[in-house]
Amino acid sequence: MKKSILTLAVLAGMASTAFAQLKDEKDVTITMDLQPILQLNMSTPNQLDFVFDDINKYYAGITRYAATILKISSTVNWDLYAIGTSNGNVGAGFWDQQIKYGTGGSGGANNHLPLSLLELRQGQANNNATAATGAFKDYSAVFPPVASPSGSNSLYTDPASAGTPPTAAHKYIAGHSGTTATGADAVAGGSYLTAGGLTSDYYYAIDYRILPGLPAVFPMAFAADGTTKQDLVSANGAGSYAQPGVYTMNVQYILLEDQ
Amino acid sequence: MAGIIIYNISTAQFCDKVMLMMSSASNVDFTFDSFGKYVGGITQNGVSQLKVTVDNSLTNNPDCRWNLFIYIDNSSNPVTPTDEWEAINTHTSTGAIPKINQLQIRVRNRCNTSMTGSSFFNANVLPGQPIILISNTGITIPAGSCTANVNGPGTYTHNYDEYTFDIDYRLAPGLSLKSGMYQLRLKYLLTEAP
Repeated sequence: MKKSILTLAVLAGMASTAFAQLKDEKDVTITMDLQPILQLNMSTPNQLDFVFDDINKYYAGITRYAATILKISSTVNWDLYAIGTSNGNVGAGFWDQQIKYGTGGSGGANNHLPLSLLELRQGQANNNATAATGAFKDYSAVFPPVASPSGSNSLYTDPASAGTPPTAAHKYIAGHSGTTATGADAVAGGSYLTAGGLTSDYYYAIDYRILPGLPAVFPMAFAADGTTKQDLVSANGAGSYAQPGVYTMNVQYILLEDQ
Repeated sequence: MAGIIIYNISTAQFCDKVMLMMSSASNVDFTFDSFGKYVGGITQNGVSQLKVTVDNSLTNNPDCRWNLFIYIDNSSNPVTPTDEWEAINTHTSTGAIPKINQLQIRVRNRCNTSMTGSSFFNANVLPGQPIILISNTGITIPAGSCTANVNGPGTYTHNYDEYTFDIDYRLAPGLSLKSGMYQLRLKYLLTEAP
């Protein structure tokens, strides 16, 4: 018994002299907040005027080359499309008529000019739209000649004027409807500043054309599918033509995250 | 009794005191809210400052040396892969979760005593693996040497240029990451060399 007590006492004494390895530590928490950035830089005149005051302008139309420059920077996958809008003072899906000249003509004179009569041409093809299903995936085709009307460049519009984005069957400037993958229907994050400038997927020069024809029926007006004619004769019957006057509309460029 | 003697030797202490002081915000925030910041990155210089004191004035043990490590921890969320930042929340469905090694660290003092050198390096380690600032080479490099890996007893009050470490952080995420809030914990550990 005495021996056991002695052993315990020695154990206790030795334990009291045992040391742990000396340490000291401090902590820092690092937080990274990656905020999504979608940045569309657009250089364009506030207003593009197309004045048809010469017979040749009616026949050949007026083209405004590179009137709008679109430059994109994004940290997320994205799509870009254009949509025509108006206040609809003569009806949804039509140019606003600000004034008519004189009595406005007679007979077939019509002030319902479809928004789709405006044609766009983008300088760089849409390289990220393999999932597109429509007749035209983008606006990269050359403007069709007068003798061969086509919807290849007619502006996308939502007939209900609800701002509904184009579907897979319609035109996008870059990317497309859906969320399959980059290349199929989305452009990967990047910027015109670092991606090669004028020939990259992040830089688009936009040309505009309006071709009234003579009589002024706007043969290049097509519905969003690119195949259904919306020229004034097709829409309103033979003998229709555009009522002389001042018309306005708006083109919106929508850059949105592909998700 | 022989067993008790061995136990005592295995826990031998070489230094009398090791103390690590840190002046830093407990959170270092990097907010990327412009394209320039994403591409150019954000550098925060001197955000953390470490001050080391290692004392053996009582025992005068010549084997008193010290190590200084950084450990990175991302494991608050158990589903976080070992090589990624812990995602607090994400804003988008596309993009990659940032890797731990995208964090860049620079450790500075005037004598460049850190084994990591005086330039930024990527934190190319997994949780549990140390980034060695001062290592245990078995050789004591005394205070005042003003060379790499000074690891003898000393204090920042007497040898400021060897026992003080300014810590810089840098992040340049680029444009391929998933937007969101991410977090890492850095643990600075000062130990006496075993």
